[in-house]
Amino acid sequence: MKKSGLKTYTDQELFDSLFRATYARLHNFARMILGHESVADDMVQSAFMKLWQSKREALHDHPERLLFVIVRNNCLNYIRHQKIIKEKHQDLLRVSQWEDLYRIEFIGNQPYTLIQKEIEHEMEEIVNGLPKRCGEVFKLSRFDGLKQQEIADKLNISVKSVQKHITHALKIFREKYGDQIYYLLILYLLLK
Amino acid sequence: MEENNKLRSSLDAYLNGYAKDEDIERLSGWLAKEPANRNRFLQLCRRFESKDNKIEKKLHELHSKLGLPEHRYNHRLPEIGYRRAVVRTLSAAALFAMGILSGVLIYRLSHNVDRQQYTEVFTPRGEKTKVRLPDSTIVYLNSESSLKFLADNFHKERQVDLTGEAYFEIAQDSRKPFDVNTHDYTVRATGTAFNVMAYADFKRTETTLVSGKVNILYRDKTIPLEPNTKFILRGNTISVEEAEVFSETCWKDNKFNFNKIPFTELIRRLERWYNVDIAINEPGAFADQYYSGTFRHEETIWQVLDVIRMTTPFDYETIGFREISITAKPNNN
Repeated sequence: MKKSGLKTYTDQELFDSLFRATYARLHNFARMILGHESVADDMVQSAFMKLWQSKREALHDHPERLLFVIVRNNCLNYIRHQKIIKEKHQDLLRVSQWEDLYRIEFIGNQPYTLIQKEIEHEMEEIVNGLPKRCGEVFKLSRFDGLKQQEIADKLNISVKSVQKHITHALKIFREKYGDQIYYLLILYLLLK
Repeated sequence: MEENNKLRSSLDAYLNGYAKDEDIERLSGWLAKEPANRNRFLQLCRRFESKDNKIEKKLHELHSKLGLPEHRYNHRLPEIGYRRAVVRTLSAAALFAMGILSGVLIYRLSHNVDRQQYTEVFTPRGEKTKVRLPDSTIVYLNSESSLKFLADNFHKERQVDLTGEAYFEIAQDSRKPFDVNTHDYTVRATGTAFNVMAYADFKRTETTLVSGKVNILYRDKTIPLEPNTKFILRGNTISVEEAEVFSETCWKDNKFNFNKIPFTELIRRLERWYNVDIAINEPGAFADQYYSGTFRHEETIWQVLDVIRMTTPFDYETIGFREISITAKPNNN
């Protein structure tokens, strides 16, 4: 299959050009999510490195798409493992607004999941994995913000039972997900 | 307008990586207003290329990490910024891409000797494209053709090198003639429309003038052309003849028209148009036949061959993927 003029030109030229064109705003995006200048740098550089080292063919077919997805995933993974939340930087509503704009440029009409949606989905899966009653109590407490007495009245159980369920839920989370989960929980609550 | 300035500065901030929340908000609002804004936005993003030294430094850092050599000369794609490389599947339904430098990938070459950076537009067989040059001249490039020029220099000198076929609509500029350099001669024009056909494997090359005035510079001669005439070079023989402008330029409108051309040339043109290889088993068989006709590009190669067969006795056979063979029918029929 003959390609338009590609015989004469190098992948490196394509790569360099892509870098000069998009680096600054990708870095800005990463910094907005992570809050650290240097970490943002790492995120974006490693995305470019991955593109060059293992996805080079993408240089010839919408490289900006792949690049943005890698940057976005790098950032998401990073914040998943963080224990301390810097409220200003990890406000997911804010992240979503930035994502909406970047997505227009980098992703176009292709399918794309906002970070917020992805975390919400993860949360739902986690909660759905709890034993029935436990999950009910937990949702009412953490998601609907009911007081223990209110929950007890609603479900017709004792306050002590409510406390037990919540403790149980947290224990399960800790076992399954380690420290990560606290972060996710807090994030999710921030959303609400 | 105040609003426009704010929008501009938000866009700058976005492109250069220092946008804040209010910039993002402003841009989002602008894009939501109407779909045309989105196109404009994408255009501006595609054109952007950072000239910041800090970015260059980061790029060099990355090069070392990846073990990439540093280029001696600066390889930069034109102000268009990045553009996805088009790997087009060649097909009978050739795509006619409109728009500024769309459809094929524009690159810059770097010549080690004289440090000049050419831009080349290249169409593979079966494809056509439309290009706008830095001076706003429009060029329709036919299949299997190449146009080369020095974009940086275009404001001083309007010169292009052409192999293949192109139709030019030259932007008016009496101070600067526009030169189309082909292998054998140069077409010099100021503000006109003309067609140049100069494929390497056709025995003749011709230039047809549609409107305005051009001069053909061939060896030591300068030959002026009037509208509706064409300049033909066959071997070493030159002639100026009446032209059928429609026939010769309708390819740019996706029509395929030919007037009194020999059989072998008709076949060659069909090969280019439909991106097939056609082998003629007895090349001399129809040497004295001439053909005229018009086809629209939507017709398939087989439909076209069927029409030709109505007046020319041959059989054709598909012998492979995109390979056709033509055999003359015996004379006693």
